[in-house]
Amino acid sequence: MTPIRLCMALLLLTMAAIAPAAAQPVKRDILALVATKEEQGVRHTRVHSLLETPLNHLGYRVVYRDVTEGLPPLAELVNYAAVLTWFENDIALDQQYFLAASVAMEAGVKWLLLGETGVSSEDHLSPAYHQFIGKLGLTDRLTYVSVTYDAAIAVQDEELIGFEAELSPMLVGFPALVKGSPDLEVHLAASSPMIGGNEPAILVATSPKGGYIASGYGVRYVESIDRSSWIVDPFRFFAKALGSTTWPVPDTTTISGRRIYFSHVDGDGWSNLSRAAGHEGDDTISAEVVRLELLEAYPDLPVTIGLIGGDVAEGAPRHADAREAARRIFALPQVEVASHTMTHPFKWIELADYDREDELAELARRRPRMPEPWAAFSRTVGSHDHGREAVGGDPVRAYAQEPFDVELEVQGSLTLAESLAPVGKQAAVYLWSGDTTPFEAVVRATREAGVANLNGGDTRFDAEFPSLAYVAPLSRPVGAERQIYAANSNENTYTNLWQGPYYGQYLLEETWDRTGSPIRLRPKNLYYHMYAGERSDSLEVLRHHLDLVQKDVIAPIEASAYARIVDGFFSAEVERIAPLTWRVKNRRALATLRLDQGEGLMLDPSASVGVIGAVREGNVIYFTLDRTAETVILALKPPSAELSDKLVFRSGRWQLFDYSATRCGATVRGQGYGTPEMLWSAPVGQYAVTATDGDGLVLWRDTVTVGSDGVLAINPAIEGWRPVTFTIDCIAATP
Amino acid sequence: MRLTRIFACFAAISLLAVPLLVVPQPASRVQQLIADGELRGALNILNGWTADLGGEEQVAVDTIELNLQLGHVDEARQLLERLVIDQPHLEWPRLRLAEIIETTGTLEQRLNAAAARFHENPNAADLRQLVGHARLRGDLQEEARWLEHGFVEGLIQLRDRERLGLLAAAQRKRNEAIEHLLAAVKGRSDAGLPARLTLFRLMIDADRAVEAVDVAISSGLDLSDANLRLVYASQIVGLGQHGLGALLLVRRMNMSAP
Repeated sequence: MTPIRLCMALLLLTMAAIAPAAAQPVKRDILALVATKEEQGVRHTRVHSLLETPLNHLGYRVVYRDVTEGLPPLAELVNYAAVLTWFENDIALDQQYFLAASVAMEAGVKWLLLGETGVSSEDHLSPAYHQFIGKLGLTDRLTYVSVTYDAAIAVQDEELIGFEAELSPMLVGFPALVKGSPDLEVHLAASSPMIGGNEPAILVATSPKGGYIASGYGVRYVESIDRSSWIVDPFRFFAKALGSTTWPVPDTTTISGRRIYFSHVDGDGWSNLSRAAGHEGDDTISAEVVRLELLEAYPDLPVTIGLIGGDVAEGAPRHADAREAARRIFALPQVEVASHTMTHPFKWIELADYDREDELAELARRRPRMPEPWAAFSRTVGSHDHGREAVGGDPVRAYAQEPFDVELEVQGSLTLAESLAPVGKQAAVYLWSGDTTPFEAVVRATREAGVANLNGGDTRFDAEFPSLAYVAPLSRPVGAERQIYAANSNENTYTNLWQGPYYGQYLLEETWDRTGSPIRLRPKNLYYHMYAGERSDSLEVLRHHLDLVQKDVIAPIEASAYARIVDGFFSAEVERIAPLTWRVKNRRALATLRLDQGEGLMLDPSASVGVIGAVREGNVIYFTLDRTAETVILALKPPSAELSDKLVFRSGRWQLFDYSATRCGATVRGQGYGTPEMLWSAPVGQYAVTATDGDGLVLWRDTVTVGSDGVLAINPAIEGWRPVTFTIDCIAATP
Repeated sequence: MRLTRIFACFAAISLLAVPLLVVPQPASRVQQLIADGELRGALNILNGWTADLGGEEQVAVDTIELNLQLGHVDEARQLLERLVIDQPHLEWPRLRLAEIIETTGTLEQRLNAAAARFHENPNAADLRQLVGHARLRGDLQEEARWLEHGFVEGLIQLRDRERLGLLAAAQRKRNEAIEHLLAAVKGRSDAGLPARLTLFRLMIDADRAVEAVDVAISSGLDLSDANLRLVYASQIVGLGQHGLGALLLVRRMNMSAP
């Protein structure tokens, strides 16, 4: 441990000793003021597409508000950890705004000012603006440096600058905001003869009141290749600007101490005849090929399959085969049932203001150009998520025989999918189709139907999209509802919208690597369409990735489980009840808390509630939560040289719940895919371990010895599709 | 003479026989397997023949295409790399290899491939990628180098010369910068303000104040815009050694202003 970190740990421990025990909510919300009109909706804002990902990683939730609404009242503002703005063009904020902002900062709300300040030329001299900018620790010299060839970098913090892209010596123009407070920590500054004196202009800085990044110095965008790259390390910048992150962050990447893996399939191309090797000419539909080659061959890897209702409806091409394939697929124990809509909307955004007459007129216009007769079901394909561009562009929906109806689209398709599944196996998730921009009412309908929702985001981080800028945030707010994004993109973005080369999704491996290390940002998500079964090369790509994860140290879960974990990220409330103790409520399915600066600290199992274990990876500690615990209390303590007398779970492949400690052992239930691969920390000794099923039938029993490494390994060859109870009893523990 | 004829006859027979030995007899079997969709079976046969890819081009074509159809991208890439080296006269292996690199290669491989293509056949598409990624990385020298290549090859637009001028200015290459920026500002009505101001400032700094004012006005400086006049005038800050130019500028601007 470095002296500084040791000092930090001692400081925390001292705080723990002297601080009074009063519950203090951790402020996790950041209010983003955005110009939704200019930026074409939240989805396209700079905040959503670039900033929300690092903020989510640090545990923060972004709440969007249109800048035209102004700031909310102070009583509301103080509940936010910070206010965030990133204006670039023609936003003219009035003096009232700056006055209110200053008051809020004085009340403890931090300000994250990216891009332009938003001050109008009329108000540039106003005291309100200068007071605001002064609170951040800056002084505006009222000059803009357009010519920069004779400017020079005066300060450059190597830890923060040059994250993905180097700072080019050819600086972009900058306003002459100079240091106005000794509290300001300058990370990047440039001097210019245009400013004069010895006052460099501040380009990146943080202060106790927040942070500032000048326009063009956070992210570089190159229009000619349409790519962005981070100059500033956004994780470090936000961590500094928002203050210490010494609180347990709700984590969406990890379960049972391991990186999450999940896979889901949109039903598009379900009934297409396969041309894959071994199936050419034998009239096998793609869904059958996927079942045979990708599902049944990997029983230890769960996969969520989204059926398009229209594909199995009477009159659809090969609907009988499609139904039979659905029955076989949904009968597989590792398959989770899902809906990929009833009529496969391509343009959800247009369905928000649906008009049947308009739709019929549009279909009539495209009918003469349709390659197939438009009759009962107008089966077309769309460029958005089927690959081939439909004649005349994408229609609003693939199946337009009946008028669009939210109830039929959501509940109807879920019921239809369930009807093809074994009795009692319920549809668990609704997978968005087409442009993946569902409107509020339809997202609400999925929630009211009791299912999770997923898709959109198109996360990539690879040679073609070589930046964190292409890792989508966790979700998109849709009115009062929330759309959960898939963790990775599907094959469409790798295959030129399914026009080939069809082996393009090989590149997914790079995204898995780069979103796993050095920062674990996302789970591994294998996301594809049923039409992958049409071709040998697409099947081979998927086999390649399935083989990879089969050998990998992962925790495989269903797609719905991931979506519900993300829901839990947003609902969770964290409060500090003692300097090193936190209570977490309303976490729903959230399964892991994470501490990024965990050096010098460890889990205190005796003082924690609902925490089964912990695993350390570098400085990061992942805490495994008991699924059945209503409220979690996480308590930390300094590392002890003495071995704990308690069993502490480290990691495993299954999710654990109903944990209870016994005198020198534990009982816990587990469920998952493949064998459990559990590792526990335990005192040296011998342990009797028994695994029983729900009826109390013993599935496995053994005696396990724990040596000086303190590791208790449990990995019987049993399946975990149904819950299994493990009883661990010490036979002869050595103190 | 007779011996010569006999030798020639043997030579002719050898020439005919060698390809017959190299070209596998069951080629029709491979084609039949491909037609039947038995791609793996066909590939198994072909894999046995690829030891000498120079012997029969069609074998190489079939092997590589089957590997790609079956998703064996690494195998296909290795065969293509061999072919590109062994048979440099063939065009299709280069194209196929480029496609694989474009689809699954690392960024470095993609850029190396684009650079190799550009050196062989200078073109705007590869230049755009090379310049764009250098700029994205913040590698000013690399960006300038590729833009210079493009300039020499006549592949860049005036807006690229504007960028080239700004890059030269940042590298303290004043005369080069003025040359590029003059071309860009004179040729483009929509040249950016930073480029115009940089040119203006560079020219004053180079003791060419009169010309600087002329260029500023002739290239669209709106003298009725007091703010803009102020912006131009403020460029004199820090260039005190050229006070005469500055005075001239201010007088001329004020006289010309409505």
